[in-house]
Amino acid sequence: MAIDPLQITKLDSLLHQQSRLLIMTMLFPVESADFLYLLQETALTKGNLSTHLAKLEKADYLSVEKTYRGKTPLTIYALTTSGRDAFATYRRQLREIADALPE
Amino acid sequence: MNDSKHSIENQIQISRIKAIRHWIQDGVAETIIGIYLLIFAALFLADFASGLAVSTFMLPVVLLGGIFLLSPFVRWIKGFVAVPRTGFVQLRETPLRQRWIALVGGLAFGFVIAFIGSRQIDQLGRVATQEGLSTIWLPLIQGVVLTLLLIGMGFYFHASRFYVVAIVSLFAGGFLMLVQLEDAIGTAVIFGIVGVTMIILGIGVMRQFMKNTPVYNDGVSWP
Repeated sequence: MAIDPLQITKLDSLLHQQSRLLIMTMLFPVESADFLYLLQETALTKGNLSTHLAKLEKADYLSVEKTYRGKTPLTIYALTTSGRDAFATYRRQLREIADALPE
Repeated sequence: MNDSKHSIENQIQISRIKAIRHWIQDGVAETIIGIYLLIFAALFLADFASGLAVSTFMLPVVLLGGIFLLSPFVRWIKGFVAVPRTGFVQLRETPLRQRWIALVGGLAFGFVIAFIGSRQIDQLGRVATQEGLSTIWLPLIQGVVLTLLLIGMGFYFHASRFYVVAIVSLFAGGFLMLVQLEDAIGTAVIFGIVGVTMIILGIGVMRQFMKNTPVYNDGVSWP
């Protein structure tokens, strides 16, 4: 199957960035996770992680809830429906492009 | 590009496994499950001590309580043990409707198995009175059932320590078959042995976790 070169340009540029893609893959299989969990699992710096999370939140891909567990303050992130849809679309597009390429 | 596709799928899988492992990394879940098994043991012990079918009435309550309260309770305890150290992650929960379907399906399946089992035991009892056979293999079956459940848990959580408890359960079943304890006390002992083993393992893991994983606090406020 011939690949339309424009397909690649249709990939969501917000998700097509290593750190944000990593955050999305961390959050996709779970209900929610807090900042500390994401910080430890992504191995990003605090500032870096905050910046990427803010961009995803601004795009309405993430919802943020500030709460407490005992005396520990928690900032909990969860993918929104549009975030899940966007990530599912990104995965599908990437799969189609990859499948269309010759071995 | 093919690598990207596979690396994303792999990364999602890795993220899922990490989240599942996060659930048992601190030993809280095992300890609580161990205590839950001790409640089962206590029910059967009450059967034996009182001569009444206490477990028949209380088992549904304990099962329902387990299905709906065990997970929130573990999460609450983890709020003090794991969250300040390794953060918080919530696995995707089975919708309430599916949990009810699973419960009703499980109870119906258990009912059918119990009915078939009771008929066979009844027949075996009749043969036993005629030919001197006995039902001493029942503790072994209980041990095997628990072993299979524990192997399933070990597989799901990717944690080999559940296989250790599975082996203990199998040996406990075999041992109880040899010592020929009565049904109720035999069941109580099996649940007791497996419960205590899980609590010991859970507390051991919790101690190691708390010793090796300091509370995360670098003086910088949360975002």
